Amino acid sequence: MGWWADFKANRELSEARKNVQRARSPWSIGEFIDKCIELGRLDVALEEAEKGVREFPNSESLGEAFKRLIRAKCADELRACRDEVRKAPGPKAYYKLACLYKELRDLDQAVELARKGVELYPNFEGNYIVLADVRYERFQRDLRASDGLQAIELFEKAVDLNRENYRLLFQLAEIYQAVGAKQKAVEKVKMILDFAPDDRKALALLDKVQAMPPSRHEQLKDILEDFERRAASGTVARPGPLAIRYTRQPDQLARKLPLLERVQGFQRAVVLGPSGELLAGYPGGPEENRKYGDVLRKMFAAAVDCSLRMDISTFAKGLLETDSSLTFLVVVDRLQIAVLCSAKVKKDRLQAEVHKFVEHELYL
Amino acid sequence: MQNILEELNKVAGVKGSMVVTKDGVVVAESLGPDLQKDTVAAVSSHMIQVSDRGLQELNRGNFEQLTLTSAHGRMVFVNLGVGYLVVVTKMEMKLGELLIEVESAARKIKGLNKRI
Repeated sequence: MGWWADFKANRELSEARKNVQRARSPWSIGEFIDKCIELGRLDVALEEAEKGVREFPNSESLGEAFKRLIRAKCADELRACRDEVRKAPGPKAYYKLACLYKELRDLDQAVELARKGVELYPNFEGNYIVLADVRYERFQRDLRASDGLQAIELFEKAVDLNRENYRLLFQLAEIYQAVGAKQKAVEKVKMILDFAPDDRKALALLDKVQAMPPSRHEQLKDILEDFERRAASGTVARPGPLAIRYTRQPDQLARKLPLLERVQGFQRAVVLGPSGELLAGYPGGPEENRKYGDVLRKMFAAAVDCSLRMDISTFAKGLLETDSSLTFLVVVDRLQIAVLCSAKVKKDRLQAEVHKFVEHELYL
Repeated sequence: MQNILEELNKVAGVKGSMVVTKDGVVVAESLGPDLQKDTVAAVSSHMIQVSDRGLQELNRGNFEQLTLTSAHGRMVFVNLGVGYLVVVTKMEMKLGELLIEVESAARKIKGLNKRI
């Protein structure tokens, strides 16, 4: 790069950084990351992305920007791994490529490759671990017993194939500890201590696990179902910063809803809190919005239930179209936001405007 | 109708499709190994009924199409007049491409209904 191009790139980068500093939100960080990718400053992008993901772990904008960044960063590696699977396939080739797709957040591809790896090379533990990791991630997000059970079965299968995999045993022990399966957790820590008797981390974990109250159930399935019940009653999952902020200050949220008037054909916006309570609605008074809230609450509940039962994980958004209207439903940080418009609005435009509202304006 | 669903399932990323009535009666189905017929029918019927009832209560017109996007996949429901086309897909499929395929299949099924 010549000095002039370098100078221009630095100036653009500094301008983009100022924009993030002026209004820090997942959306503005995502824009900054895209700018860095465009300018080829992948190291700066990665630093900002990691900071952003820690700050806003559930943001869609950041997740997507992070994916684009990793894809740009790993393009050569991805090509090499794909070539290896094609030209010299083996258990590790499938494992490496599946791991790379997992890092790229292309979980469908990761699962497909790992499944293929398991099918072709059932005695290699790596591909079971990839499948288990993906399932466990879903368990952490959705807190469903069935996901937890599948993840644990896959991890156990991997342990059967290699009984001295430290990382795997440690992770499995922590999972058992998290769901309240004391006995199983103790067993796994003891397996670590069999081959690493002085390991400090394992000894500390053993102390923690032994201090746990005994499990109320014997079967893992029952323990996980009990965990799922506790999660559903709200004793496990915690609302994120947006939900906390606007549940405490719904009037602040009500003041932001008029921003959505910029959407062509806008008719109404209604926001429900983590327990389905009406937080704010615009336009109209509380009585009118309560009526909308009651109907929309049922729609959100059906969409959440539908997604989980169809095994496509947590519901994120939905668009309901009729001959005369569009209803856009979004769940962000356990807030349920519905934007109602006439059929005049273009679908893409509606989704883009609501996305910006949710990922930028709500955070300011 | 079965052929149309089978064709639709050949599109990369589609996990399965079904034509179901609002009451959950399966008219035709072509589902991949991860999907169970009774679950898809029951869940779809519930989703359609709740949405339809909601639209009527709020006086917002007749159900035409619903797209749900979740962390690991998508579902599309299209009103065919005599029933609903339900399609379940993986997340890898881009929404625009998915809707083109689904709407094309829905048009073909509606065409069949007219001929009947």
